[in-house]
Amino acid sequence: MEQLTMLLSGFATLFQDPWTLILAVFGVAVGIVIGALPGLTATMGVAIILPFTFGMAAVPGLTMICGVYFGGVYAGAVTAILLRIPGTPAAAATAIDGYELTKKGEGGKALGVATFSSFTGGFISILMLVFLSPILASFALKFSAAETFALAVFGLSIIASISGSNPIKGLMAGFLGLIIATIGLDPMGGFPRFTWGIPDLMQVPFIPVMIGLFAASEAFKTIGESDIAAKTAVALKNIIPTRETFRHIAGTVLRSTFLGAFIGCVPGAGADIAAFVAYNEAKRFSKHPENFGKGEVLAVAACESGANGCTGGAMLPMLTLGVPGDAVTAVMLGALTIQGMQPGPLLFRDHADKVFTLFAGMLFCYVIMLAMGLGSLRFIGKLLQMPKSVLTPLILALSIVGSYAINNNTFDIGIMLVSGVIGYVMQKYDFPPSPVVLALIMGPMAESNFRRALTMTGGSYDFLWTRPITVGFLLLAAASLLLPVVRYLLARRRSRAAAA
Amino acid sequence: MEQAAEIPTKKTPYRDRLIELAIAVLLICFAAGVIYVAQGYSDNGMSTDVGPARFPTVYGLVLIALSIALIVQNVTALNRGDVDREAPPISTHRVFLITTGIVLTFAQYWSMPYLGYLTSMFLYLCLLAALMGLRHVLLNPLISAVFTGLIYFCFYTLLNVPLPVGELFE
Amino acid sequence: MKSVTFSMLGAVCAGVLVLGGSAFAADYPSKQLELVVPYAAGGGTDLLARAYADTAKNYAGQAIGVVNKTGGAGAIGLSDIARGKADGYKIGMGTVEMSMLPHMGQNAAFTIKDFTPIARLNAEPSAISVNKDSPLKTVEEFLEFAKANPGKIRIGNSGPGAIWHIAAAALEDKAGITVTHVPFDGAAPAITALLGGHIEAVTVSVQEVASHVDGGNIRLLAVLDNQRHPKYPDIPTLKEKGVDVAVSTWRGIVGPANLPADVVAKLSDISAKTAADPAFQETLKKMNLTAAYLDAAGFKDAIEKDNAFFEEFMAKLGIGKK
Repeated sequence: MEQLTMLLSGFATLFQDPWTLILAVFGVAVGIVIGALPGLTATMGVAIILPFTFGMAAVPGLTMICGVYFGGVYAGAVTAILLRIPGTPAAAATAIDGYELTKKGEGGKALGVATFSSFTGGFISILMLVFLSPILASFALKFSAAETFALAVFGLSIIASISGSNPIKGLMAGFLGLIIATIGLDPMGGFPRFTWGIPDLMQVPFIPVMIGLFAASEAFKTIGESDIAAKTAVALKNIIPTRETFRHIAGTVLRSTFLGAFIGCVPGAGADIAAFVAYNEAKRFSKHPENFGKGEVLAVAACESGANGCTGGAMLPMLTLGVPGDAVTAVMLGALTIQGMQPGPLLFRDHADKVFTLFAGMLFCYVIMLAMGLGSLRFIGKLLQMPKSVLTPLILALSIVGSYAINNNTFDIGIMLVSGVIGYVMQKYDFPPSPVVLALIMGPMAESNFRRALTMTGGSYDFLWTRPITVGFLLLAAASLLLPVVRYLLARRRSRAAAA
Repeated sequence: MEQAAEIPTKKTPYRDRLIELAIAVLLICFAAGVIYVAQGYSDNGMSTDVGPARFPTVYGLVLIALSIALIVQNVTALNRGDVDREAPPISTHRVFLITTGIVLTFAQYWSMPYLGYLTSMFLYLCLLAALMGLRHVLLNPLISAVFTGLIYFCFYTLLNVPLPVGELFE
Repeated sequence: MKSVTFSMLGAVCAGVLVLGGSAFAADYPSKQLELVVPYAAGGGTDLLARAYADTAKNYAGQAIGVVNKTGGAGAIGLSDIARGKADGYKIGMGTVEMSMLPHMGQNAAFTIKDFTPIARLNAEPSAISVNKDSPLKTVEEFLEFAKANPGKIRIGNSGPGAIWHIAAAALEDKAGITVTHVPFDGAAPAITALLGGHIEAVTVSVQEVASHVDGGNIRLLAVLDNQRHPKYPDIPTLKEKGVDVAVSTWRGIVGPANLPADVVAKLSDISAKTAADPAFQETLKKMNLTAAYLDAAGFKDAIEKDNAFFEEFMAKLGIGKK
């Protein structure tokens, strides 16, 4: 238990340094604001705060960055649940059931569960980072193109479980998303596909698409509603979950945390994938999978603990191997380098004291996040009491500026608006938007890794059945894809039999 | 929301069935276009690669298959008479509100490079709030100005996002 | 050592040259400058730009705002710089992609003629790196093995048509070997694959593998440069081994074409002083970056040389097709 002693001495160092504690609080607060704003992801939050840490000592600077990261991953859920604006891509999964809960008047419960699940997921994942690094780090390197391809296929198969009432419509939305995901430079040959000579299309900016499909489409719908002066929802209540709720979600939270941490370790897979996978598994294990998509509190718990469980997981290969687990940790790798703490095997040898103080700081950040989350929810709840004629223009204005802010490019606003109109039509005719988002995240990952694996094996398709992890994921994918279809067919036969 | 509870008994309106058919046909055309364009993509000469056209083509084919499945689903439902022919007509007022709202949003997008963020966003928020029923002479511009300024402060001042100044003012 | 002397000399020369000119630009800059970065905040180019802005503002007497205009593998931001008003208030971080994207098909709305080079800040040479467990211990063994087993060596690069892909292709061409190119989505995933033993080698820059070399997990075989790398003087260059390939990535300050001469002079002066500033050099060192200052004229020559090289090679690779 050498790690435990190190961690305790890390805490001792941490609490002797009030400056670090203040910066941690500040970092979490900034992260929550950035995460809640549409378009600004945890990655951008970390990048924005990074230059301010150049002049600081290593531990305070990095603790603040972690605060922004954790707060950002968490706060995406707040607007996703209350307003159907996923602040971050991971929250697109939370929005599915979270917003349904708000419409049922259970927004307070959803937010409380989201906050506690985020905290638990994040806190445990940091503990895993402290105690299990050596085991999990070697696992991260096992992932080659073939394994990542299989993981992406598994991710795509989740489309079936987030498809809503009609799987055909969900799959159609998914494949539409996959086609959109091929716009831009071909990942293996650099060939421009469907760009029509427009350089802005060389990389599909998927966050504007997400903002359009979720936030703008909902806002457009609201414009047409007659009771304009009506308040959006009743005041938030029951934010602190009851003991019963805790017991109800405990298993899901733990499972999702481990899933999230595990996915975080995989290079190139981040919180967004973790959230969707956690959703899928929660539904698979649930006794009432039919409630998913209609406001199931377990879904919110799963997505949030998965997404935050990813934070510790993603930092693990970054710290131990110098290999970033996702986009945020890639930026953090730069931050550590600038602080003279070169991530990699030497980090724990040369800077063990600083690393363990940082770990203590991370745990502290999560505690702060829990306190701040719960404290601010009541205030945020007031937002809902605005009349729709005030709130809807604000949502659209934020969608516009948020889409612009990703690349500082007005073209992206256009993408967001077109997606908003398409999203409105989709919503009106019961095509779910989340498969499109999932396809945009996973599609490029699946294609590039499939073709990369093919190149690496010299054109042989053997990699599909000779590698155990790959085979495992492909089987899981087949199961997730077929299960809901079978369920749907059975239900239809039953209802028709009942009708006849 | 109130619909969610009655989904099992609710029948899809006749009009919606027709629109779903139209969507399916539209997507078939779209997917066919994708496949057609993709066939023009040259191979990159790597013998071990499937080339840039393979994935879009496969996706297009699956989308066509799914669209056909949706058509079959709807046509069977229509034949079975599983539709609600008494659905209320579309409210023209609602269509007017939504269309105007969307047009206003696009107008904001197009005008921002010329008018700049501050002017175009303020005008947009005023008009949209008015459209949605907030027509108070003082409150409407006041709230719009506050929101415009708040977003400007958050993004421009704190987050260093260079919101457009507008060609008119440069 | 030699390169350091050179850059110092360059800095002094530039400083002397612009002293006369700066009198004419007495009132420039009179407001904040905008430094456009064509890559995302938090990346290497962004960090360098922020370090530059932080030091250069002291010499410019005005704040320098860093603006990230990302997308299109750098094309969006670079076009934005090229299209900028030529008044000296909008400058940008030019990267090697400036001389590569114009040859990548129809998607770049600029050529190198649309920029005014001001100062190069750093240059990072490519290197052949292998996993520590690789049986290939020296570059001779590497080349021998590659010759005997065409296509067996899989070299990871940072993306199709990206700089390290070209480096590997140039190596193939000049050494008369055949390898399998495996494009990744950036240098980091390629290095990860090398660490995991999924590919045989990478041709990314020395800087990008430095931490793993120091950690003992990656072995450098040879540097693709004209002189040895200052951080690893024991590693031979390919040129020494009779294969004449030198591929480097670089970053530097550029402006739109047709900048007034006095503005160029003032900006060159600011950049020369910044490049020589100890604080800036310290930041470069922390980031494992190799300072390689070139003044406006030298930078222009270097860009033109690269441009000609990439035009030829990308055509050969078939990257620029259609």
